[in-house]
Amino acid sequence: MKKRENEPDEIMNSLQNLERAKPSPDFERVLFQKLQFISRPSWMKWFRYGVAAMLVLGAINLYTLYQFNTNDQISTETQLDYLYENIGIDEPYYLNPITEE
Amino acid sequence: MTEADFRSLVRDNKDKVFNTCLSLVKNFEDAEDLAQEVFIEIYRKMEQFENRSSLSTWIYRIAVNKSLEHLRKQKALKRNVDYASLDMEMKDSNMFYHPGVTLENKEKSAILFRAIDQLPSSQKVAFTLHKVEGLSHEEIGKILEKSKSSTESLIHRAKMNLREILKGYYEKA
Repeated sequence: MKKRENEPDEIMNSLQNLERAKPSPDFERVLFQKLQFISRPSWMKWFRYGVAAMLVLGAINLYTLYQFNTNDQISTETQLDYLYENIGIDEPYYLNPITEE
Repeated sequence: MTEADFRSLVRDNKDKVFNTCLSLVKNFEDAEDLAQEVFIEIYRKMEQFENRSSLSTWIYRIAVNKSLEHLRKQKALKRNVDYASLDMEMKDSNMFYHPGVTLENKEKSAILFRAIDQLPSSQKVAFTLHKVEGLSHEEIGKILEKSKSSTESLIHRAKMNLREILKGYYEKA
């Protein structure tokens, strides 16, 4: 292309009377196929809510179990020791087996 | 919105959506995919559409945003890939021949599209919508959510920058 003074202006105007480009004839068919693929049936929405609710309940359960295990509560052993020493309940023999001398 | 309504919306708007995407991304396959994504988004968000702007403006806005997002992703991808291997491909893709251009303007429009690529995004969109889609400054302002005067100045700056780019191109030639 040879250099000319008014060339930039001609280039700037080269899009005049431009016709719109058209998509391929398959455009609508492919679009509706994609839409069919992505649109889920309505029960799917409720199913997802159900799964979400189960996950929340599971998380609450795990949290409760964790709290229960890490809690500084009096262990069963300590409670039994207290009972043996202070209330006078005899220690079951199997906890303190009599050995033959 | 019934399926029939949506089908008629697609039929009425597919050319303008495809043409806008094509003029911005300059690739037929990508433009077609993007145009389909635009209609999928319209289908999903139809209930959210508020009548603050016209349906046409809303559709254009989605098309422009999708195209710009695609260009950003492409740019990031090119940054990560070995430039040398893409060199030949890029040389070819830089020359874009819009199918709606008259034969005598084919080469000139390809040069113009290459120069448009060098503009900042907002100028690129405003100039393309003005020249390719033939939209008024007011309509472009509504799409870009800018006032009429700032759209006018955006297009004016785009023209000034394009003149500079094209001048540089001819000084090199």
